Amino acid sequence: MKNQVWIIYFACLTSTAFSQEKSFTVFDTILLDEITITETVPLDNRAVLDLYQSSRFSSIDKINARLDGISLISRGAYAMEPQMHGFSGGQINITIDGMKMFGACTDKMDPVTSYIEPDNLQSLKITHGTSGNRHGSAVGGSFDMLLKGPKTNPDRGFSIVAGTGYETVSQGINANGAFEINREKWAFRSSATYRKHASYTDGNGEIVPHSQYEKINLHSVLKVEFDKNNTLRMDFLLDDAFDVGYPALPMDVGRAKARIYSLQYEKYPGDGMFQQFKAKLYYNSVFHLMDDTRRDSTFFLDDEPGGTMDTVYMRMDMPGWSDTWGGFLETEIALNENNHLYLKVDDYLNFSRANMTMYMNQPGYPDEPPMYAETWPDMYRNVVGVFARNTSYLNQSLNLILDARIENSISRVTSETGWHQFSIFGYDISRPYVEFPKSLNINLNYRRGRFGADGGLGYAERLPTNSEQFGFFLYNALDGYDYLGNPDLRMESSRHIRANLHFSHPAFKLTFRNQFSMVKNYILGRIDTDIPPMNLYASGLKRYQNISHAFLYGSSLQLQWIPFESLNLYSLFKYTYARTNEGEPLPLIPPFKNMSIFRYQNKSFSMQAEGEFSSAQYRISPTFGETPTDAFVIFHLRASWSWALSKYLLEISSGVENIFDKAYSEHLDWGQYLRPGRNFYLHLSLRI
Amino acid sequence: MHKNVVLYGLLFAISITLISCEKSDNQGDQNGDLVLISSGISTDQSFKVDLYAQDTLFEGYNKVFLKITNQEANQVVNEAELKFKPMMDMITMKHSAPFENPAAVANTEGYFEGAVVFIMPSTADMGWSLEVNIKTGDNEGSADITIPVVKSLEEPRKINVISAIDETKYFVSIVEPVKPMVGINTCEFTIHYKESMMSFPPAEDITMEIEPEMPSMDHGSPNNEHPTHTGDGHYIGQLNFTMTGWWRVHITLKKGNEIITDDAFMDITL
Repeated sequence: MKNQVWIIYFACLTSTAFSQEKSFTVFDTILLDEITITETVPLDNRAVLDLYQSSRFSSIDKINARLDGISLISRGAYAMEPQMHGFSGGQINITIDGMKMFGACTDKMDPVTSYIEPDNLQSLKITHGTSGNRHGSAVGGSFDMLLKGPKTNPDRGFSIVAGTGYETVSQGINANGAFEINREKWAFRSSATYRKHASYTDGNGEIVPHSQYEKINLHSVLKVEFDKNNTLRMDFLLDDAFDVGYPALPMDVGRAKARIYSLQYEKYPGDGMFQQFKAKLYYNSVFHLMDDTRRDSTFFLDDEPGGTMDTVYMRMDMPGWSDTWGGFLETEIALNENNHLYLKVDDYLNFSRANMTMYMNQPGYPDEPPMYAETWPDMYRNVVGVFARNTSYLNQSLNLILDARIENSISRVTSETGWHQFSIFGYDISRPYVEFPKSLNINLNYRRGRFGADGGLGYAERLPTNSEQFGFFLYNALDGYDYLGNPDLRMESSRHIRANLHFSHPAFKLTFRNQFSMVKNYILGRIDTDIPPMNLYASGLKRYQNISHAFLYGSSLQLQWIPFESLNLYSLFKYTYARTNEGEPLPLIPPFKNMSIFRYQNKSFSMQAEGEFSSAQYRISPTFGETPTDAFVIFHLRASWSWALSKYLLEISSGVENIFDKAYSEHLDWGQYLRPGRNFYLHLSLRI
Repeated sequence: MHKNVVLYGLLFAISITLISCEKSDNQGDQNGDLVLISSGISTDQSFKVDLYAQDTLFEGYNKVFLKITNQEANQVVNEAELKFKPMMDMITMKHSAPFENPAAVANTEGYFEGAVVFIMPSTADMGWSLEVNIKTGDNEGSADITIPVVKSLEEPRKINVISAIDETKYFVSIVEPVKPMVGINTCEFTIHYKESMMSFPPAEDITMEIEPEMPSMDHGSPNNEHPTHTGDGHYIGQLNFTMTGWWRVHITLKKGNEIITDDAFMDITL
């Protein structure tokens, strides 16, 4: 199947290339370099960009790890889950061009970010804390990935880029290609990425088993311009992953499949006071198949009376599905010169389903009948929301932003087996669950000359996730517990305060950000000894519960110094502190971290040295299976050259990551499996 | 792409056909249609007795349904006093089995409902018979019905227990669930004991405890309810299953404070 897709893709690519040969003109917009991080910081984004741009085949995970306030929860070499200053999962709002999408894995092995490649990413919009509520209720922030799109051009244009690269640590092959056609009334862009990596070698020279992956990603966009300000845009995205290993988990992913379809109409600029109008319809579907066919699935069962250990042999299949239909309307209204109102109405319907079948084969006995349970009983959740934001420019240096959102959410489990499963615990989940998440933010921005400051107060509520509410014996490999959903969970509600300072001078820039959240009814799994776990290797059972409250503090400092035009020094410090109302540390909180780069650049050559320092983390939650993590420092060196040869642009980038072959793991890596050791990479790309 | 569409279309059509075929095949025995097991004529030729059951009779608690026809009047009898006497002929000896006589009035479909606990399966040489004594008004007759087969189940629905107290032999049978499902199941057991070769009265003073377990997964299920006596040796409780597969229900029987058994079990596969 994957080969087929490739053939079709290249067939399209070459045929278009030939048919366009006569008419194309050299189009000098560099297509693949457009990723910009539109965070609300005045610090020049180029500094952050440079970190990964020098390695064209950076994965989205490598980009995310380098962003301000973002950390990654990792279970393997692929599909890392973003966390924003301690907030993750249902607490943050991960969207693609404002589209809601939910992973189909009960073990969070497929965060939505795993379906996007840097190749099809235009920009990322990151908002921290309660103000990340534009596309949905969230207490911890929002992470919106904007997909690349082509531009119409009356001069007509055609461009193509193709590249390939190799990484030694995982014998990894990366390949990508993209082309763009630009016409006066329409434009089309298609890009593809292919990656195949074997299990990588860690800093001790040993192969980390089950860290391999293979994936293909395709994105096509057609843009039609009716007139100067009316545009229609259609997107199709396909992402297929095969044989993805997760060293931290007892299972791997045989297949992960995502499709995104969207249709968008935009009017920009608008008429009169309506400055902009956008309408969008979308559908996305995810299929995720976890299995352990590549694992030595032999478990030891404690035979209590005899005190011996019996070996049992078991196979497990865990497929998951998630489909989301949605749409939104948004407009920006200039009430007067100094007052703008942004309005958005949105709706989405998500369907999710996951189940588990276990096949037991005790040595010397006939096969047992399969054991089946619905780990996510069929659930429909419909959420309709209204968002409004008012921006008033009080004077030249001060503006006030007020925003509010209200949603209505109806969740309904439709599976009778699901009802029966939960009836055992005294719940009748055949009824609909209705919630009204609300959020409100006040923000003040001040800017005068080189100095800037902004701060705000916010309140937000968020819905429990499917796993938290209706998950049925979901095994968590980090703490070794089975997790049981709690249909009666209340919403988390956050009271949030933030204060940021900026200084910007052409040669020196600084951004210092601080945020503090008090989250009431914080959702956490708590041990319940009354209920036995379901998996034979589970240590016990935890049920999701609302604890009284939790405190989370996050801070970051970014510094940039440009002593000469060709020299650039950039440093980012991030820190997160979090605890429950009883003073216990929250699980999976990243330690203090610094990332620094020293970059030299002239017209066709650039070189940079990077250092990553992470302090040790002793503030851990042992009940969540956490162990302290040691501090580490690693270094990378990168270089890139580019040559322009008539219409062609050849680019070579090369480097070595983890130069000193340090054996290390990040605190947010489940089970502290080791990260890749020294890695040499080489990448060639050609643009026409 | 088009090929795929056609292929999927075909597959879809085929699967629909298969599903619908399967349904029609199964319909006969799925909706609880009764099966005629055997018939007998009373000694004076006045009654014909047809013995029905939900399926082939098996070792354990069987609900039985009798249709009685008055041969002289050629009429279905709806009211009668019926008495059972099951008998196993083991050539060298004979023994009876626990049973429950039907109520005096037939159900709306004309069947008299009773029950027999077959305590052993039949073999080629040794078989069960059921003697039915019928009394309507002054008319009385007795029919002996030969039961062709009582099968032994792969997953037994009856266990034998020898009391640790006084070596009394108990027979524990499961009545419900017939179709166990994931979730809450009402469970019903019967307990009878052997008084003599011909007498197997219900045991009405037993304390019963149950604990379901998935032996291969080393776990049980929460919130089960121990069965309590509701009359005539029937014990009703609640059995919960969290998933499909092979479950083992551990059974403890007590009489007062004394333990009859604490290592009995019955397997249930979902």
